[in-house]
Amino acid sequence: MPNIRVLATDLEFPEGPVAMPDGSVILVEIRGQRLTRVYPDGRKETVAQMPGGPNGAALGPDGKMYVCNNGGFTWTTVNGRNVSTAAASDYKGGSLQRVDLQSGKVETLFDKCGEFKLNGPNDLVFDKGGGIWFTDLGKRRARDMDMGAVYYVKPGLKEIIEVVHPLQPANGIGLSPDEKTVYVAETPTARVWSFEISGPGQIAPVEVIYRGEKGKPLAGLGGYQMFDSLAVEANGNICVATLASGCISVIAPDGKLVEQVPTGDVATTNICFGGPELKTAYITLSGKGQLVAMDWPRPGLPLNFLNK
Amino acid sequence: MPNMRVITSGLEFPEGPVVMRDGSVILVEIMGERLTRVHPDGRKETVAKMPGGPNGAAMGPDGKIYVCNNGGFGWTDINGSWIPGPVKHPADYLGGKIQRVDIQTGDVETVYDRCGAFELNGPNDIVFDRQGGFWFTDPGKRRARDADAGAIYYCKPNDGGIVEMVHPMDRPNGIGLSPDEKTMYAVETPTCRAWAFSLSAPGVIQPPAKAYRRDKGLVIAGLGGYQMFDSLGVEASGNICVATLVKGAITVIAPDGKIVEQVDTGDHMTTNIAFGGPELKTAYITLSGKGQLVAMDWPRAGLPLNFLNK
Repeated sequence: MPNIRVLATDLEFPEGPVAMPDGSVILVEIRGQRLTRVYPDGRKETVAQMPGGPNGAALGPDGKMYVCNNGGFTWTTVNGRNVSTAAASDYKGGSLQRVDLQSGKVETLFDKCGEFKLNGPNDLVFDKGGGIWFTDLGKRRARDMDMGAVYYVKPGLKEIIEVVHPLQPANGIGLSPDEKTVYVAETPTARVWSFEISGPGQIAPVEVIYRGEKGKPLAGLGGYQMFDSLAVEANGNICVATLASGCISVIAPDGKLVEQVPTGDVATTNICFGGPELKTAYITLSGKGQLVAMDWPRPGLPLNFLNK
Repeated sequence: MPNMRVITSGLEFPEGPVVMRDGSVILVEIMGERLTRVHPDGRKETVAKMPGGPNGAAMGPDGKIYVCNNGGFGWTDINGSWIPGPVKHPADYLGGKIQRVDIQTGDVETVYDRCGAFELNGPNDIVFDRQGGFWFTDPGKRRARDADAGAIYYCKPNDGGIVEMVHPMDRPNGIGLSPDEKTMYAVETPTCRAWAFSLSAPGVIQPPAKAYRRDKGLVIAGLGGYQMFDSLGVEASGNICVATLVKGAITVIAPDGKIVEQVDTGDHMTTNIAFGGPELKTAYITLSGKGQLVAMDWPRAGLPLNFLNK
């Protein structure tokens, strides 16, 4: 792969990369059950042990790293790569946590919403008010699986609401530059849904397309591909890590597919932007266990509390 | 819709059409919980009451109609169409079953309601091979907060037993066999993907040499956008014709996965297609949003089905 620089190897299913202002990249290792800092020279340092399955991360207004913890997976190996299957045998539920980057202390903010436990929190994004949108992929068990969902934690982080349920397993999440739209990527269907935000944690109703969908199906890839996590560009394009085909799919705000950038790993799981002008894409290749960097033709969107 | 003739209306979520030699079409009404014969003049006659959710049908070697019964749905009126979903009360779900119906007497007999340790969830569509064994899909049931994983089963000839062949799958729905019966096709609803499984012998799947995960087949086609697959019929050419939801069409897919065409039907809930008439060049399509059985002249002949057309 031209234009791909391997920054770190032997990561145990990396995800949730956050490109820090000092040039290091903090990410989770789901199988490794830790929050890890990768230095520009490739050195890895454990920031915190995170039992269960730390799955997504975002920097909060308090300088702490907020983490979606899916509660853990059972792991197997297919064609030499780590593959998650059902919930871990010691799975007790999912949670939203935060980590003090200096001390490594982990605290749990939420493990349920109303009467329902969080199942498999996956990815998250802060809005400018300090509220958090996050996805719940659900868990797979031997014979059944949870429906996916989207939750919102109100600014102040004391109250959580369920905004969208049911979805197919919901994975990547991001906000448009004007924060009037929230994008959610569904894994098995390789669809991106867009929801118009009418207030903090509120979505505007849409005309019924078929059977009660709550958002607009913005884009759906054909073939045999699945969506994982995502990041947004400054121009509003949505860059979605794409499984099976092993690439980053760039989708314009009108739903058109701009391009697919191959990464060489069928388990390409996430992307974030950093470096000068936010024109470096940091991508987690979870099949190979690597964090890589690519020059990106267009700058990433500055993230709240991280880049602005 | 040009070239579309409405055979009958007022069907309560029609599915599983079987075009009989006498020109009538036997089909199920999922919401109506019955097996119905539609005569060429549009007259409807109840063949059998089928509590639960009769979902798919095929003619068996014994002259009986074999039916996939999904155990029942709950129904919601959305913009004038009845949309299936989870049952409103747990007691309304009667369990998934494979049944067979004596079409003279209307007697219904349950053939299978479980496979080994597991009960059938929501059997959907069914196809017989020339040996008299049959394949069926079970998309599973959806509940308020969770859903079953889907599966594909094979039942051996002469009530010879049931085997789970593929699990898990994402709500497999339509199922069919290639003309040479060396490939079994199954399509998934939410992902709108068509899978092809190589059969090394009747009822035996040969997995591909290399798969993305532990797939037992290969995806030959996946429609993009926002569309979903329902049931299917196979042409003599080997094309698979898949009823396509939301778009409201029949999607014709060649054996190599290329999309030949999408034929609009005018109903978002287009659920199934079967071939009959002279040279099997009449397509009978169930429009479940409108509650109709319609017929269209089809440019290519359907594949003769075992025990029905040959």
